[in-house]
Amino acid sequence: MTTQDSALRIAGLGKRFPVRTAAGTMETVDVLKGVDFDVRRNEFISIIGASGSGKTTLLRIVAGLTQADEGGIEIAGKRITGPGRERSLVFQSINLFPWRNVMKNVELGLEIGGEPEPVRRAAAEKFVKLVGLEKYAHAFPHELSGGMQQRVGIARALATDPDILLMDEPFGSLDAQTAEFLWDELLKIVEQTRKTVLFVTHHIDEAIYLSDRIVVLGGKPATIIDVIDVDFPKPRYSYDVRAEPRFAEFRARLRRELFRGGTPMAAEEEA
Amino acid sequence: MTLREFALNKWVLRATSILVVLAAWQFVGSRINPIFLSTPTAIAIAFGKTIASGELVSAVAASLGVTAAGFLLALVIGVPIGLLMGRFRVIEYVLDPYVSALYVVPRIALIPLIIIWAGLGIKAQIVVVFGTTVFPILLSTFAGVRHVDARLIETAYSFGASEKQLFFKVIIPGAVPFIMSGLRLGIGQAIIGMIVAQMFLGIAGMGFMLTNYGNQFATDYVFVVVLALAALGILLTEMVKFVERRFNHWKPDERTRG
Ligand SMILES: Nc1ncnc2c1ncn2[C@@H]1O[C@H](COP(=O)(O)OP(=O)(O)OP(=O)(O)O)[C@@H](O)[C@H]1O
Ligand SMILES: [Mg+2]
Repeated sequence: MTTQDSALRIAGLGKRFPVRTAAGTMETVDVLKGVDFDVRRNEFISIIGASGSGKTTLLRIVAGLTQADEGGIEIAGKRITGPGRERSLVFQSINLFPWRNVMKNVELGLEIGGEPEPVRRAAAEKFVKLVGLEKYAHAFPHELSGGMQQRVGIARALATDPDILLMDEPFGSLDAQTAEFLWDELLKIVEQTRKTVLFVTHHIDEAIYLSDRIVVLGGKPATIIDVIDVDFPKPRYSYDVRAEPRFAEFRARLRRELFRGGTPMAAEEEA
Repeated sequence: MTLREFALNKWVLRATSILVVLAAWQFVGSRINPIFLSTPTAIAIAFGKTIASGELVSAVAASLGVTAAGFLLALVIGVPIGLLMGRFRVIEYVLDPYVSALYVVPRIALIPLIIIWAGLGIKAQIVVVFGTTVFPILLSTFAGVRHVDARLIETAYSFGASEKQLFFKVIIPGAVPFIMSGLRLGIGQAIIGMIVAQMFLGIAGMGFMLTNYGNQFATDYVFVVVLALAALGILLTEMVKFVERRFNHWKPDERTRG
């Protein structure tokens, strides 16, 4: 693969954290080790793995919020050391600003980027509408349900028009109907705006439905235990992907990998 | 409204309580030496006289001026220092020995020094008010900065925010609820500082009226000042609370209070 069609390179990534032991002393634990893959331009990649396997950690390193202990991230052949305009992160913990209404939250990135007021407002209106919250444009976060807050977080990340969208379980607290509606919306946005997506989830069907490739993290420390090419034709929202017989095969394969050891908890795999 | 509902209405309860206390006061006060307790009627007469002579109004004006000046000075100095100490460790470590030391010293103990430095006039009174007011404001602001949700700082940082943007878009708005409670505490302290300053340093103002009438054992006049102070305190605190509500409009209602 040439650097032309590579949007992002994750090169031999390793990350350690100090953790407190039962004895009260500190001990260094490897969370990620030798994580290595390329993300192509306009590719949709899901990272799936058990809880605690290091998915958020990996995404935070790509976002430039945490430094890797080994290896690193390259964008257009350059090693990144911090956040950048070409990437936006949708946080697992959402992180809306409680004193800003929905519009102002969505405008945050543009405001920081120094965009003038009319540009910000137009973008915020567009993306607030896209996530179906135009009726709540002037509501404050505490007046929204968890799922609505998550949609604001997504709108905020999209508003800066990044090339690479980093999403940490963005649909985790939505009901199934809203989530599935947003799967299609996300696929449409990604297609129209030609985005590259790195999408963290532990939802197997979601990963298969959305992704071009699925990277499976497992083990302690976590490494890539499988990469699945999901080669269903696009656009996927135009037919029922889940009725495809191979959908069930992918699902079975992922279940096997994620439930290896009888538990979806990475922490217990050591035992 | 049933009789029971009427009797339990908060305004009915308050009014009844006040009437009972006033009646008891009048009853006891008129039977003992007026120097001890005076009576509500004597206080009302004294109030009328201080209003008619203009004495009370000019004292309140003098006190308000000193309180406002000291409070505003504490605000414009305390908030920025609190913000900087909260955000920058270096500034915290450089300044906290002085802040802690001054905070534990009763400000009244500094009055002789203040007289030496600032004399006996309005300036000295403002300095005393500043001294009592700046600490609650500074320390609340500091605490507010430390309580800003680190995840919001990180969110702004993920969008490439500069230190200046973090400060103005996250730290300051995030600290506002704490700053506001600092101002609420500060206004109470400012009134205390003002009274103390005018009792020691004043030739005018409510504090001066208090010492003056106290020395003459004019208990009814002392009560006039005390009640005027209470009214002033309520007024100023309500003003700060009003501003506080304007700033905290985005917060969930306090509907859980009984
Ligand atoms: N700042 C930190 N300090 C210490 N340990 C950390 C830190 N951040 C993460 N860890 C540890 O790293 C491991 C991976 O955490 P991470 O949040 O990346 O998991 P995850 O795969 O996103 O899990 P989930 O699906 O539950 O969100 C966990 O064991 C966690 O305790
Ligand atoms: Mg996570």
